[in-house]
Amino acid sequence: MLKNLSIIFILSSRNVLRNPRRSILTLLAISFGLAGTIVVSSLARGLSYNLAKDTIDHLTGHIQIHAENYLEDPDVSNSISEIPPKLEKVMKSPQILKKAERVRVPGIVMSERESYGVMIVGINPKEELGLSFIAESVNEGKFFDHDSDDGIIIGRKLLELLQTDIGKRVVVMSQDVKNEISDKGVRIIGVFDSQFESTEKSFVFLSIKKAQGLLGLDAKISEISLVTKDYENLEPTLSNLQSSAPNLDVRGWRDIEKFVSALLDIQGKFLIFWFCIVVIAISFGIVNTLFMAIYERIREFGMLQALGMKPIEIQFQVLIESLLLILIGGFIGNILSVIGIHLLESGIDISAFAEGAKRFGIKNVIYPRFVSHDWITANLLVLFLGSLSSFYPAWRASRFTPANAISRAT
Amino acid sequence: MLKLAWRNIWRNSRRTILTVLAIAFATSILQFFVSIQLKSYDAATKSAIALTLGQLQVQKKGYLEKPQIRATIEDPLSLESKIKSLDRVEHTSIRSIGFALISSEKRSYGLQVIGIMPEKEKLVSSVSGLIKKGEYLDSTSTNDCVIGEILAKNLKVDIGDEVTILGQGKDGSLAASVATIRGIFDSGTKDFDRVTMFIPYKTFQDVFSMQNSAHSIVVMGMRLKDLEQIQSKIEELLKNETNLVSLRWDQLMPGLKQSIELDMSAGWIFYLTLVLIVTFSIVNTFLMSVLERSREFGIMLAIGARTPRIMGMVVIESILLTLVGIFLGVLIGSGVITYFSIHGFTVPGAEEIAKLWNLPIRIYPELTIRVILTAPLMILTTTFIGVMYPVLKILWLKPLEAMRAT
Repeated sequence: MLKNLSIIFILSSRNVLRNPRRSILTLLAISFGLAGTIVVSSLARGLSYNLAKDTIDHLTGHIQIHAENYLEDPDVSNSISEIPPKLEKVMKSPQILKKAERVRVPGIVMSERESYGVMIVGINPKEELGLSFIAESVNEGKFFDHDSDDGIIIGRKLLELLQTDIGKRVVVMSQDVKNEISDKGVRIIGVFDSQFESTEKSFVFLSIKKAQGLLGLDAKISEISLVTKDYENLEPTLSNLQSSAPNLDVRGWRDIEKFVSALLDIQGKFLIFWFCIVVIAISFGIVNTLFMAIYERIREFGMLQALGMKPIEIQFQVLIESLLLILIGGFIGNILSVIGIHLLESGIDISAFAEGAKRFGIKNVIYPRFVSHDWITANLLVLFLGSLSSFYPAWRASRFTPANAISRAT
Repeated sequence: MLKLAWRNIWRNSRRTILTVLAIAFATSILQFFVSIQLKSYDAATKSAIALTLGQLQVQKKGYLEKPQIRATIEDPLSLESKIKSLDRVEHTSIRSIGFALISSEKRSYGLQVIGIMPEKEKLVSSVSGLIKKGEYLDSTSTNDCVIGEILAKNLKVDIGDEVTILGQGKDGSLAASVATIRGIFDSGTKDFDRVTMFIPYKTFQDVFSMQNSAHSIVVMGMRLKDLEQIQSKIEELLKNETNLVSLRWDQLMPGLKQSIELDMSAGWIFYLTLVLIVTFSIVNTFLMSVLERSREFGIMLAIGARTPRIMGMVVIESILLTLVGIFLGVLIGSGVITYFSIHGFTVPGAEEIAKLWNLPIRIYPELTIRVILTAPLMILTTTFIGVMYPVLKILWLKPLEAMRAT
């Protein structure tokens, strides 16, 4: 059988070319289908990439370290009093690009007119630069220079809600280590903007030393936020950190931002499901074309069998024919998808849904993002399901009885 | 002609069956997705309305953007009774809302304190049914409060414990009181459970020096459909009170409606891709069948059939074929939806998302007219447009050449 393979191959490729119009139509169906799925999925991935990036930029970072119960109960009593020397060492490893220590406790901000519940975050300005959004988001007034600067930085929306202004004083109130309410008047030195109103409304920033002073924390901190080399592959770094600080709670961003993480997971599942559906739809087209091609050639198949070609070889011939269509169609589809993604590179504006997008934490413009494993999945599915679906026509083609087939009129 | 078209379809029965199957497949899949999608939106809307929004609220202008304690409705009781007497309005309730620091022995949190009239509130809000521990407020409660489960955990308090309320009254005076935890609710919406405390309306008015004023009148109509009508009637009532506004649930929480729209349009992109691919394969089939039959069409032309007649026949063929596919698809899709409407449908790993939308984890899709019609209409439209290409091809047929074609 093997020696005939080259002949079969030649037969198949000629068959593809025999009815160029039909072949072209099928190729179009395959390539557009494939390109469509890849482009649409790249948009979906772009959306989630943005979401993940914004989440990380926000204040999360890639990895966070807290005292044991802090995430459950973000109270001053659940602070990290001392960083174990072992952890210190791991945090200096090349895997970790940035590190920021913070104080982070719930509290209240009061102006003369209004008061709101907020999260008070004490930061070291130098560490936050390039790690979280805050260093680059102070658009009015100024950002802290040192970790012991006076003053408070609040969000644009909160400024509005408190009916106060830059340069004016507000009172910050929170519970200190002795379970007593401690308050302090501070001057607003800066206002930050965020794409999310909720952030502007619910976070205020002090310098870390001043926050520690307010809460009586001394040198204790609430959290350490880390940025690593690769946010998608945290496991090795994470387990390294965990083993070096057994008494602390070390978590990756997916574990902290469970909602975002779940959204990404669901999206991944949905896309695979989606690929399958589209490819099944494409397969219907392939099978249809093949049947048409076969039924035109019943006589020919009869003749081939009469001349001594084995049924299995006829099957092969049909299969290779469809495989050729799939491969060429897939090739064109990939080129089309590259073009499509390229065309969309400047992004799609969805600002019409701005409020809704905010709820998901999505920006107003979606950029496509090419994800290699989606691309591989889509291609493999087309190849696999496409070939699988050709088995039936191929089998059918090998089942014509030569005598009947030859004697057919057309 | 219908007969002729019908026969033509079945001339190549295998091809027809495959095409019909492709259409049916796409139809049923789309139908299923649409049903799940619509049901989730419906559930999200309903639960948001039931939890706190109500179908409509009357507030002071600007209160929604800046919820200040001084932005009040004066003499809310008389306005409420006027609204209550309107046609199609079923329930109403009055709320006063303030911001306060709540302290237990161990912890303090700043949060939203809502003064409610328990008997009325029960009829407009689902919170009374979400009590997990203890009980809801009733008309006899004075120094009691109901708080969210997460808040209870954060404050480290339980039923019977006391908390102090410390805030600012309407007149700027200090608002201070002690309340006993009477009930703990779990709404499923974390943000709500973390920052919400209910106390009796009377108590709130005293503590926050509200006198005869409140922040919101919540209105529930008999049916959500009548909401616009109710709103216009209330607007009429408010004609003389230019500083009050009536806001529908979607105006109270614009994010909810927009996120539904965003999700919907994202869904449409996926549906459209599928529909286009299926259309492509249908059009492909038709193009081939037209090309295959050019000989036949040539003969028809030669014996005097007019081109429009042939075109009409092909169009009818395509519509018939699509209709058969759609019919089958609707049957399958409806069957699947009916099955899940009884047994429920879950997406593994969706719990976090369900929580944000305050959705039940198990969704029971519903078979509504909209669900049944959306997918078929989409496919019918696109096929009809797509089929125009092969049909127009017929225009270029010349009898002689066509007859010679093989």
